[in-house]
Amino acid sequence: MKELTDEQLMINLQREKFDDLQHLFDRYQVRLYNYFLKCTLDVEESKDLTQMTFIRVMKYRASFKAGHRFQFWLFQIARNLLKDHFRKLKVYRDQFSPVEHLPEHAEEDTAGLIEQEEKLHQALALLEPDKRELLVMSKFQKMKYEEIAEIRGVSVSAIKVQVHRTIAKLRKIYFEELK
Amino acid sequence: MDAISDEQLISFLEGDLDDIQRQQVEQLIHQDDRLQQRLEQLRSLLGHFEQATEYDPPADLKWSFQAMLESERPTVKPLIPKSWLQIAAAVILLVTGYLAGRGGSQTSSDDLLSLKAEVKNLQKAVMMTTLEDHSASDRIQAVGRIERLPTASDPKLIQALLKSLNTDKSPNVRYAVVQALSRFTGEESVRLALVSSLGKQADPLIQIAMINLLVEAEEKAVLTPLRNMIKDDQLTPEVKRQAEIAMEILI
Repeated sequence: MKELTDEQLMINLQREKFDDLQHLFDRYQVRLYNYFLKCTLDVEESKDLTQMTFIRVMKYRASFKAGHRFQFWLFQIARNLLKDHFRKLKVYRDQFSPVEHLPEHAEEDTAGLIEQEEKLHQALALLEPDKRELLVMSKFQKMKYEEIAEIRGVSVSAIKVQVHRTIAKLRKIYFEELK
Repeated sequence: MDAISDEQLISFLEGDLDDIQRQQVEQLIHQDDRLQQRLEQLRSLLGHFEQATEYDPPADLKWSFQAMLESERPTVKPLIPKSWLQIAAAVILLVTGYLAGRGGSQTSSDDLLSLKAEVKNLQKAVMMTTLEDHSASDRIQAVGRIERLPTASDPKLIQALLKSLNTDKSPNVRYAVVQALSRFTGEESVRLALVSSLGKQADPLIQIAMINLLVEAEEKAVLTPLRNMIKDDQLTPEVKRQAEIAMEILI
């Protein structure tokens, strides 16, 4: 049988085929979890936020419109939850101790890579949450500028400028400010 | 001020410049060591993103999602085929009609009570059958229904749950069973059955859930399997740690 698209599964969910939410969960749980993890740098929070995203998908399923892409709708929900999270916790850059909150690496990772990735997360933690999220979408989630623009509701050129500007800032933090 | 900004260098790396702009940047890079260094830093930074780890979500995310899915379902699909429900409903209607026809005597109200009890027994029987013959998600639902039963412990239901704990192929079902059995740890027989089942479980999540349950119930009989688990080289480190903590608490 041909695999159903995300949008077809979502329509099924609207028709009360609740088991289809399981398929959407299986497809997106890793991506969403990593999105939250790299934005919040907190394992427990990321797990809860991932769970809450799917609770909202279930709760607000009727608001998904046929013809729209599920991925955008999902990430809009996730972004709103993330914004609430930052608002609630008032997490700002000087309050982060990021590396301690990340999961342990698998044994096969080399020491050099671990060090490099920890430094990258330290540098990312020094960016404003909104800018960090932008790089998470663009560089970790590998979303195209067009996709991010659609999720954020701004023009593609504006997203491109923001991403480039944020990478430039990150370079300075990574190579000039962090030792 | 730099002749070329970082933003322009990023566009260069992303292949986003036209031919003339690209040639200009290349020329300037050859003439300026600092510019070349910045370009290399940006290239390496973008490379770090490529090499970044994608983390696996904690295993219990899936469990909590499934529990959420069950609790959020506005309607629960019937566990037995509709035709059976229709037959049962027809029988109940017939019997109720017959009893009502006999008038409001004491006997008929006793009969109604006994009929009610029969229906409850039928429901329990259906749940227990579902634990054996249906799909994993149906079995989880059946466990959930047993868990929500308002009645005190029923030896047959507990036996059915313990059987599932030891024999069900799906770890999801077994995990749900552990949660359902947590209501009955006040009974020694249940605690001892859990102790004996612990050694048979291989799934770390289930092992941890069972250890926690038995520690909460302060069941010292679990010390023997815990000692065996700690000695087991094959055991997942997290489970071993949990077993050690449990022993510290119970001794």
